[in-house]
Amino acid sequence: MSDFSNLSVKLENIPDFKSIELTPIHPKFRRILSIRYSIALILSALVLSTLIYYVSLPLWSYSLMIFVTLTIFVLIYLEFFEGFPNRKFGIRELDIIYQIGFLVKKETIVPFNRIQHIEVTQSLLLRKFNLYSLLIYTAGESSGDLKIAGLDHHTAQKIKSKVLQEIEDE
Amino acid sequence: MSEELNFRSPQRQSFKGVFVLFITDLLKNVRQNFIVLLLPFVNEKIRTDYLWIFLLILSSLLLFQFIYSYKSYLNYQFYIKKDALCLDHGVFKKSNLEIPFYRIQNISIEQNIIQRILGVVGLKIDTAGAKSSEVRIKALSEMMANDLKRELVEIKKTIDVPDETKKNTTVSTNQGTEPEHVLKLGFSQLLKVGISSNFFKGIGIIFLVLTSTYDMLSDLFNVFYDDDLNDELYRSIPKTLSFTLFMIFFILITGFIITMASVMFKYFNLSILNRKEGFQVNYGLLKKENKFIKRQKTQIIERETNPIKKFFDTSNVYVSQASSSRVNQKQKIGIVGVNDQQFHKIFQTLFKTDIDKQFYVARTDIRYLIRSFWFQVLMTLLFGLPIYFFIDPVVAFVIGSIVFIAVGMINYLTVIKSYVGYDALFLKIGSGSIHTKSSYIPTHKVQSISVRQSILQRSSDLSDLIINTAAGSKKINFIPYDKAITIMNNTNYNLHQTKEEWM
Repeated sequence: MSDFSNLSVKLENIPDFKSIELTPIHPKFRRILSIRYSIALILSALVLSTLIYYVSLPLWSYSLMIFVTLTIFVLIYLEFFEGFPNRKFGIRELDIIYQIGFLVKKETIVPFNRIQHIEVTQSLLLRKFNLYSLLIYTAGESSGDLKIAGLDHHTAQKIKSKVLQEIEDE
Repeated sequence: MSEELNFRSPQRQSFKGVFVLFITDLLKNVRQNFIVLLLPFVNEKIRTDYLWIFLLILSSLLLFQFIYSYKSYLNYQFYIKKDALCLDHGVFKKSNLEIPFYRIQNISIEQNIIQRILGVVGLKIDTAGAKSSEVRIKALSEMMANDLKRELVEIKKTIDVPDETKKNTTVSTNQGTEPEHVLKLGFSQLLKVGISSNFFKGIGIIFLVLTSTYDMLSDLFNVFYDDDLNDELYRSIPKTLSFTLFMIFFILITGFIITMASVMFKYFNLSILNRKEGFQVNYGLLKKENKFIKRQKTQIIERETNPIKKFFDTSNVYVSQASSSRVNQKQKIGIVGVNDQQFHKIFQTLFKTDIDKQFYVARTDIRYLIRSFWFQVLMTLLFGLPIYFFIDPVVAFVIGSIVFIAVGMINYLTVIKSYVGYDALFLKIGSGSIHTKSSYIPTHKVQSISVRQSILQRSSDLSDLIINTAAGSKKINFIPYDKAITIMNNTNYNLHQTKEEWM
């Protein structure tokens, strides 16, 4: 492993995105996640119970199905609710940082000058809580696009206008 | 005199948009659910007793569909803001989309058959990037579409810097002097390329051919004999280890020959010509191909080699480009038979710089083998189980062990060869197992960058690094977390520093 012998800038001068204090998304979004989670849980329980009641299968397959479903929901619970405080974003002069996840934590940097267009959406559920989702599209694959869900109106608009202003200033 | 439409205030589409949306969605629903629609024709009970319920549900669904289309039309509004085109739409999920003018690459008017019948057109706005970043206004009167397009084009003219690098047209480049040949593949080189090619493709073709002829033979057999071909074969196959090994050997040899032949046919007379804006690539015997590698659009250059290729001093080069045209496809152009000198020439021409040897490297940790262990188990079962049931348990055990060890070795090689190297101008990503692949991405071609860490990786401080470009994403697994962060910070920093455009 070689040193940074061919870089003209000292290591200390390169900004570190980990040192930035990030802003959490709106706490009310946690309730939206709870609602979605509960609906999914109830639906799965209904489907499973109708299946067990009407379709005759060996006993071990029932236990397996219930076990798998429970495991999935425990994992989702951990990811959504233990991981909720991890949902943070940060805006710097030239890029936007977003982190999300608990079982699998993902941190992304999207430079403003790579953003193609920007979308603010609000599903029915989000509308009840006055929250919005921000979608940032890049020229890369859709896996590289950024979605920040659970922002209040003011924050969403602020980020959007900041992004648009940076593009204009290019 | 037509009324001057003011696009600064929110506009709706043509009212016919309701019907365009309705019919389009209806067709989509029918296509997805036509099995359900066939129920009355198939099931006697539904046809006689429940037909009226079925029809009732169907007509209420149609009604809801129509109401939804109407609401969609009402909520769909577009207007021009100071620096962007804005679109508001949505019924259940409201959306506000803003496309900065600066990002609009292409504006086109299109018309599918439904639009033609209803007498409207669609306006498509392309930004750089994948299909998901196309925007379509689906039902405008032709006049409105033309007005909007005209206004957008006018605005773009005032914004766009008249710059040679932004021209989308390919300039005719016969410069007077003979274009230089970077590479010209003679027959002996072509042979070397064929011999050193990956023969798994050939094996795949064999399996396809075998299974289809087997089906054909099996049917023929049933016509002439009472017996089933399956049983006949089962009785006659010698259940010995030597026979199984012979079969495998036979398949490998035939696969090899097929691969060699198909590669040689494909890349016959390969030539690369140096042009003003990039490279002209021609090849093919039966199917002649002419491709152009544009310097501006090149995002990633990959070089692939294997022990046999190294012996012949040849390698494969894959150039991935981004496309800003209507098609918006990512193009990957493959070139074979490239030696070191030719590769340096290609690299230098496309990226305007030499390959730097000094890279800060982060290697994939050996613990990645844990993740790939499951694939190993799967492959062993895939090979072992059929042999166990149809030939012999002992043979199955032997073959299974061979497969387990072989896949394990391949996994090990994959880990050893996986790394990401970084310097001020480039990212170099190593990958491959039996073959060795190096991918070069100029830092300024990066679109976004992420690091991912699962809870299992956290305990050993490892992570996956994901580099997104306009020609696809690259993932490097199980590298130290702090190194991933360093690479992210530095790539990002250099991305901002550079004045160069990514396309």
